[in-house]
Amino acid sequence: MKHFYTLIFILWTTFSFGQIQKLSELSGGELIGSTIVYEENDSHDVYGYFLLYQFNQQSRDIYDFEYVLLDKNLNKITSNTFTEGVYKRFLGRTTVHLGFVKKYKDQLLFEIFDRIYVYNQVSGANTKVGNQRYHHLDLKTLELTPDYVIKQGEPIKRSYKSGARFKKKDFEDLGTLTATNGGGMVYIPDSIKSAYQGGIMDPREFTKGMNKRFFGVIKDFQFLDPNFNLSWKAKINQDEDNLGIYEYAASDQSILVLKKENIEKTAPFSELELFDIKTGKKINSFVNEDPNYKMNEFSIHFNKNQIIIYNMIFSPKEKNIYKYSNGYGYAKIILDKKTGKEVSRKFLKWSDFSKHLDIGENGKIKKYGKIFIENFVPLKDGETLAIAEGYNKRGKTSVKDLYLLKLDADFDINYFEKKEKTETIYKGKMGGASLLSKGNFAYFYGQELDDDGNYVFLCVDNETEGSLKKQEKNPQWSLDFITYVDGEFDSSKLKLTREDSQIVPMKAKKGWVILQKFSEKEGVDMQLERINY
Amino acid sequence: MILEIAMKLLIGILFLFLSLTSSFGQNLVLIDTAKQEVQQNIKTTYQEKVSEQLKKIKKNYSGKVGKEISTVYSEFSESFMDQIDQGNFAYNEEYQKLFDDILAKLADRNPEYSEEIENTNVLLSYGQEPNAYAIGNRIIVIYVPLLKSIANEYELAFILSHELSHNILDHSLQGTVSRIESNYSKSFIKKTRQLKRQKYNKGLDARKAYRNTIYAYTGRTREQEQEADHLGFELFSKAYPNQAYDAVKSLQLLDEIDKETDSLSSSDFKNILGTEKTPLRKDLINNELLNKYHYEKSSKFWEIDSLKTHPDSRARAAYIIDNFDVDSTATGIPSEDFKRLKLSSNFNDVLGLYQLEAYGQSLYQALILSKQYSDNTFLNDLIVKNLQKIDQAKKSYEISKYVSIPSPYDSDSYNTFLYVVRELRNREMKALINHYKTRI
Repeated sequence: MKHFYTLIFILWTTFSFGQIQKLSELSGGELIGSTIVYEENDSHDVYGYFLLYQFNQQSRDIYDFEYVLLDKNLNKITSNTFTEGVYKRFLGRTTVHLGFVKKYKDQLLFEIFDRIYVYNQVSGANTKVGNQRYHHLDLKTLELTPDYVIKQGEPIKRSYKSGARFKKKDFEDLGTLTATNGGGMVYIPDSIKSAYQGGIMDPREFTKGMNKRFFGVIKDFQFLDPNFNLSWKAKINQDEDNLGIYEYAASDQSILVLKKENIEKTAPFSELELFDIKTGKKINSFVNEDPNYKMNEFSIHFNKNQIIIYNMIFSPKEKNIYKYSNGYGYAKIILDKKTGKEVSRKFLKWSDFSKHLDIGENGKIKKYGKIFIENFVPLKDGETLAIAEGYNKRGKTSVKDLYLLKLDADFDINYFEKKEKTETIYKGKMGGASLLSKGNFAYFYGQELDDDGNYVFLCVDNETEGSLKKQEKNPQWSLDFITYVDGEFDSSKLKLTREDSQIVPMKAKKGWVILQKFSEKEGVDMQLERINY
Repeated sequence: MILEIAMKLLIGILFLFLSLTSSFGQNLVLIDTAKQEVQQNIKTTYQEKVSEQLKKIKKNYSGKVGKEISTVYSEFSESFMDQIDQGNFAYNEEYQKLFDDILAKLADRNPEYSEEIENTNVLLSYGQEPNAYAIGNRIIVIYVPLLKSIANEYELAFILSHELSHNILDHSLQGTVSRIESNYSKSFIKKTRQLKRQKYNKGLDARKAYRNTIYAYTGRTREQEQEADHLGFELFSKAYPNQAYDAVKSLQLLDEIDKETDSLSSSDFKNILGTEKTPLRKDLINNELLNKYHYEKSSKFWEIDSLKTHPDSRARAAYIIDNFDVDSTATGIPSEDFKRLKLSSNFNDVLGLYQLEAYGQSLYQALILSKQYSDNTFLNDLIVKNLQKIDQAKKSYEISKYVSIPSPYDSDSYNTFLYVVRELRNREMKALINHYKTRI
């Protein structure tokens, strides 16, 4: 319990009044972003928290930033300032954003990028992302490198002088890195910008010829180590009749999964390409399709020996596999990590819920609406936990009850529980995918409680009953902890809206939650609290 | 608020009863938290002094500055009175006699300040760290944890002399006036307006200005600390010429005062936080905790020495040696009465921390003491009470209010304790509470 023991006299005042308060406000910064930093192993545990502030503008394009790194108990590890250029454009508005923050052994690598809002006569208002730059923070010496950008696959160090001005070419056509869980970053050259620069066209509306021209020319991708050195390169799009648009899908310490959306309309919609993340050797291509259904992967998980893919399944005639409300249910596909070959494939159709709900093939529940599964959690014994919520988009959209499921190794329901809660109403019509993307479901996040296979789902719910107006005017938020411990579900609740304060929860290390308390009287307070179980 | 005070009253009576009935109770000097009339006396005395002080402020300071000083002083006084109402101040005749005897001797040997000294109230307070402070108005506060850390009554006498000096020199008022006046100075106002209008480098220049302002404040505070050391030694050495070097020792103590004198080992944790039915999980003790992090040792923005409100303790001790003729053999031996008070302060500290709702700290201190006094009913009862409070706090997601998080500034033992207590599951906690209940 170290403190400063001073044998002091007490001043009857603090610093927070008058001119000194004004100085303090002027010298404070604007929070650009904050994020959780995870451990780099497969434990999914929290290492700490990273916060980025912008606190000073030196000249038109040159700004000063400050970062703070906290440990997992919210103790400060380090903080420091640095200077960077921000992309400005005539008649545009630029905002700065924090991208990924990734720990690689004794280094932290973080990304900052700019979002530019411009108006284009052809397409109207649009935004583009650019000026991606990267810093290393050495976690032993706590020294920060200047920023690097990736230009044509090569890292270039940048430096800034106050008053310096930049040209468009200094900021555009920069490469984007994607952090992986395998000790490095993926760089897939992105030629989309050359067509998109003028805001001419939405890439989703590209013709086949345009796709070939802009994406088909990308013949390889790189895996860089944390210092931007090339670890390995792998070939893609070698077959001119089977070209695709590649993007990062998932990874762990041994496997990298890229998703390939095929350009050819006669080809399967998508494939997953599996690579050994240490060597770049291609393990397999897995075509995510089924003779009886169209499929769209929902989430990808890993364990020691397997890759587990949860898909949404649709009618084979379905034209839009992003319209989740048209889904027929889910599929669980297990691949062997070493070979990339399929080990098993199981289905959970809406009709399988008929023992518990009056539900149709397309998931519609009479006089209720539908349910949407938001998260699957594969357990060590081959079972799966799932959490779902009911919703209805007839008339006003509403989010209804919570559902807890446990599925056995065959993906059959062996536990089903409906947890009733207050119906939350939203303006406009929103289906499951929209509700999910806008964060309108009560489900907040799920996390392992410990290393013993225990789990928790956190749900934030507005408990005000009645009309949309009532709910918006006087929300009463509560936090539900739904734990799965030693094979049993249990739950407890915490009131978030208090008389004189509002608490906002935030993910913390395993078994814990951060509660950020905002009150007019006491300001902001962050507490790290143990989840009860 | 009334319910809280009533609860504290009941707990105080209960502990007094337990302490007197335990076989150890007769040797300990335990604080009586039940004397409400004592709390009321403190409050009445303080209110009188506040009233006098406000009149003086109104008389001597006018305009915006005067108004600000009155406002700030009133707010501070309200906060101090809240502390009284919350029962943070304690009373015991033996402790009070110790303070009064010291004051009497200081007054007798320093006639020019006798009136100030004789009319000073020394209040004993529960606290979370070994410290003491002066608030002006002839009031000094001594924290219970300080009394378990010092070697003898002579070190206490110097500490009291130092705090008396702050009051004699009116440092609280002067420091406040100085800050408020600088806040309203034309140059300061001009500076902040200019910064607001600046287009570029506003943030950077505001930070520099803020930092320099803080340095000016802390610089002045360090000067005042040295003035109090100087006058304090003069007062002390006249009253205790044969123990003058104890003043130097008490300053040197400040470097060591927060180091643990005892701690909990791995086997201690297993024995005291595990039970037969729920043995302590190995992973709780063998945890990495904070070892994997490399924490920043110094701030890049602040110069730590400029930020300190007091000079370095070695510098303070050296100042006394350099400016006064001090015989290094002039030290005292603690009396038996003091030794008893010092030992008792360990137990009173546990109770005090509980009263302050610092249940984590209270439990930790109780567990350390229980290594030597495992059959002590008073301690075992406090262990149960602290565990129950922590359990309640966990269930209502408020444990951080009462139990700290592990910190790089704390010892490994304390950090391990905090980690274990926070990680205990519901059934483990329940088993532990039941286990200690059997010991009462």
